[in-house]
This record gives sequence, structure tokens and C-alpha cells, in this order.
Amino acid sequence: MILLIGTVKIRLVHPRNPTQARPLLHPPTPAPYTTTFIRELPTFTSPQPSGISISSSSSSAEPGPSSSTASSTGVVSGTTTTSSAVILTAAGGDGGDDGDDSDDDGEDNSNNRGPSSRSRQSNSRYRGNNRYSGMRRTHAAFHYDPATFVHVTDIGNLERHCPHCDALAFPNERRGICCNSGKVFAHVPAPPPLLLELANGSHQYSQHYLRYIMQFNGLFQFTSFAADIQFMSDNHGNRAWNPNFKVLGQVYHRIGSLFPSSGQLTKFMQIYFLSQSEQLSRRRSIFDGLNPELIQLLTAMMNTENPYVAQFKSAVSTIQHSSTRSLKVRSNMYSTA
Amino acid sequence: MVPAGEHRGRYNTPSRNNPEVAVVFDDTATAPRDIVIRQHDDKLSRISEYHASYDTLQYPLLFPGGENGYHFGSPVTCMKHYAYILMLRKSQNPSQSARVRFSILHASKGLFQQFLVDMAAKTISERLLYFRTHQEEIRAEAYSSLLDQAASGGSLNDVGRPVRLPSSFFGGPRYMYNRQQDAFAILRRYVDFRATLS
Repeated sequence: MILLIGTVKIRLVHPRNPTQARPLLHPPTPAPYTTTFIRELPTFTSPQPSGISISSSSSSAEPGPSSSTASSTGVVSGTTTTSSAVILTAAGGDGGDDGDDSDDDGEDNSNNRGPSSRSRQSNSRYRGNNRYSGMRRTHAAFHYDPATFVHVTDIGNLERHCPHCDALAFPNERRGICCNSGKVFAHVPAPPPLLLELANGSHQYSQHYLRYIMQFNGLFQFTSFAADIQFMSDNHGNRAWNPNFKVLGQVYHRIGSLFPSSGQLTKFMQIYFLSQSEQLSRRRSIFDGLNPELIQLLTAMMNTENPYVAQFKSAVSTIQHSSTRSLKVRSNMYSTA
Repeated sequence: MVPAGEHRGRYNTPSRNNPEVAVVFDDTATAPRDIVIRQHDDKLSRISEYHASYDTLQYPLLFPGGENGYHFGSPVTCMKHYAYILMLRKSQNPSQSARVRFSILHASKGLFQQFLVDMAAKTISERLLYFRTHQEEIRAEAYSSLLDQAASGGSLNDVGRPVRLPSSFFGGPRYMYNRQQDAFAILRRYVDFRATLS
């Protein structure tokens, strides 16, 4: 069992030296492992040439109809991971078109399996590895090339939509997760135009806003986040580096008093009760590097659009002229059902 | 530096700096339902997760109009509510080239992810609260707590009032036990030899 896993591993991620494979004009000198590798290749049976021809045609950029589906069915069905990886590299070698020593085509290689053709096949393999070895070892997903990448699972388009709530879904997605057949409804009002422009990229500060959106939200949030965060400690009991954010118990949000106690800076909700200019300077001082103009725009927007700001402000004015010591927040009266 | 005795790969840097919450254990304390703000106070008061203003007070840029979040008294569960919010919907304007209605939530990048994690934690704790308060309905008395405690290797002196999680709770002990039984049943049919690592 262990032995089997070991061989599979060696086949798939054998360390190859791309610099050795570089001189294509020289007659190919197969690496010592290549012969054993070729001997264990699965023989190409009848459906296989489709995979090879498709990949070569797509690498020469012909707009073949239904090429992706044909290649995915032709290659993936009935072959293991190892064999499809082999086809991938063979396709890369065939599409290489380096002129002088290029093979006729993949079909020819696969059919006659004499020693000479074996060496040529190894050559094409070799060149394929030269081109793709680096990308396969690291960050393969970031160098995705649809011409050679054959492990494509087609999940369809986002084309089905729920008759009750207009939610879009993929064809095989489970039904009813969007609105439970019309039983769930939540009112989602249209956002203010400023936020819409910032989010969809049409505002001049969109890029800045979206990059620092968590900081911008931090400037305007009423409550603060709190949890019993678990830290791993090192051998000396100091706080070590923690790869995960781990919470014991509940995550909760906390809200402070309406006014800061003496000597304290205004925080979170308390900032909203300052004057406009004071709000601006206070908000600017929280994070470095945020655009002050955008802070001003967002402050103005929050003061006009957000119902809680008005609610808290009126509460502040009444609480200052009365003996009331505390106030209760009622939720905003949007319907959720 | 990796602590002694720990696996080298355990402290690998995450490939993306995504927020992630692991809810280890649910605290029994719940906050009062109302948000009460005092005039001058050094203390921070905790607001209930099930208050409708919870979301908009923490994420004013995602819910600028003060939209209500999930709250107690809402006819749906927490999960259903956020599943509804998180769907992409068809564009209402047929002349628009984009088929998908623009959603400010989904465009909000890191803040959206933070929101997702926060709401996932809220959903889990809402479910756990349900199980804690509905132990009779999930027939927890059918499982003898003494037997379970003995089976889990715990001391019989520690038997208190544990909360039983049903097997439908993802990641709970009964859930894991069921999945393991299923896996062995499948293996028995298709595989001759197997090796388990634990």
C-alpha cells in the first residue's frame, strides 16, 4: 500500500531540471527515469487521439466548436490522474512547433511503440515538461491555460432563477436554498448613490475605498467587536504567532456610553455626536492613509442616510435636558417577513 | 518558530489572509435582548446577536439605510435569513446588459468576508442555543448521559447538565460518529484492505 503511494508520487511530481531540457536542437537524451516512466504509460486506446488532436488544435488557436467538452470527456473518462497528466504534457509538446525535430503527431507516437518512437515520445514529453513543469509545481491555478488544462468540470452557467425571489442558481444547485419557496423575504433597499458608485467602480475613489473598506467601516461603526479570542502561547507563556483566529464562546458586539468618560477619546458611536468638523478630524486620526475627502463624503452620507444617527442624536438632545440616564434602542422598522 | 512537539506544517502561513472563526465552545450566557445605552459609563455593554440592529450597527457601510438583520421573532431561522441575503439575483432591468443585479454586499471585498464570518458564528450560536433550549425535542434523554460520559472516557464525577447535540449538527460528536460509520460501510463494499491513521 505504502509502496504504491510512493510510486504514484514519484510519477506525478518528479523534480525535473528545466535547464537540462532547454536545448531542444540537440538530440534528446532521456533522463534516467524517463524510460521506466514511459514503460508504465497507459496504452492509448481508441478514444485517446481525440484528446491529443483537440489539445493541439486549441493550442494553434483554431476556434473549434465544442472543443472543451470533447477534450474533457475524451481525456477524463476512464483514465486516471496519471494518464491525463501525461496527455497534458504530450499536448504541450505537440503544440510546441519548434520546427526541426517536431514529431508528426501524437497519434503516430501512440500507435507504433517501437524503441525509436519511444525515444521520440520521450522527447515530446520532455519538451512539454520544459514548458509546464514550473507552473505545475507552484501556483498552477494562477497560470491556468484553457488550451492545455483538461481537468475542467463544467457546472453550467448561472442561468436558472427562482420564480419566487429571482435568485440565480446553477443548473444542478439544490432548489429552495434561496428563499425556501417564497417563505423567506428580507427587504433590501437600494443603497445610497455614493456607496453604489464606490462599490461598482464608477466613483473616482472606488479603488481606494474598496482596498481599505474594512478600515472605512471601522471609522463609521457604532459598535465594537469583542470575543474571547484564544491565543496559542509559546513555551515561555508569551503570546505566539497565531495562524487562525480562534474564538471561545460567543462573538459579540459591544456598545459604549453616549459620551466618553472624562479624559477619554470619543470612540465608535460617540463620534457621531461631535460637530461636523470635529467628526472629520477625529475620523482622520483613527487610521493613517485614508483619503480625507472620501471620509468627508461618507460622513455626510451617514449623517443624512442612516436612521440610527438621527435616532441617537435626538436621544442625545432629550437626554441632556432630562434626568434620564439611559436609552433603549429600538430596531428600525423595516419588515423582515 | 514552531513550538516543540508540534507539527511543522501546522503553523504555515495561510495562503490568503482570509478571516476565519472557529467556534470552539458555546458560552451559556446570552446578552439581554435590548440595547441599552447609558449616558456616561466606562463599561461597554454587550448587544444581543439577535437584535435586529446588530448587523447595521457593526457594518454601516454594508447596511447604510439601517436595514434589519436577523432577530428573534423573525419567522425564519438565522441561516435562512442570511441565505436569502447572500443570493445573487436577476437584474430587474431587462435592458441592462448585466444579468445579475448589482449587490453592494458582494462587491465589498474584505468587509463582505468579515461579515460572512461574523454571521456564520451567529448562525452557529443560534443553532446551539436552539439545541440547548429544546433538549426534549431532540430526545436528548434517550442518550444516557452517564453512558456517554463513560464512553467518552471522562470522569464520572464530572457529569453535570451537558447539552446533547443531535447528529444533524455539523461537526458535532454524533455527526462525526455517523459519518465514520458511513465511511466504513462504504469501504466494506468497495475496498479489500484499508489502513486508518489516527
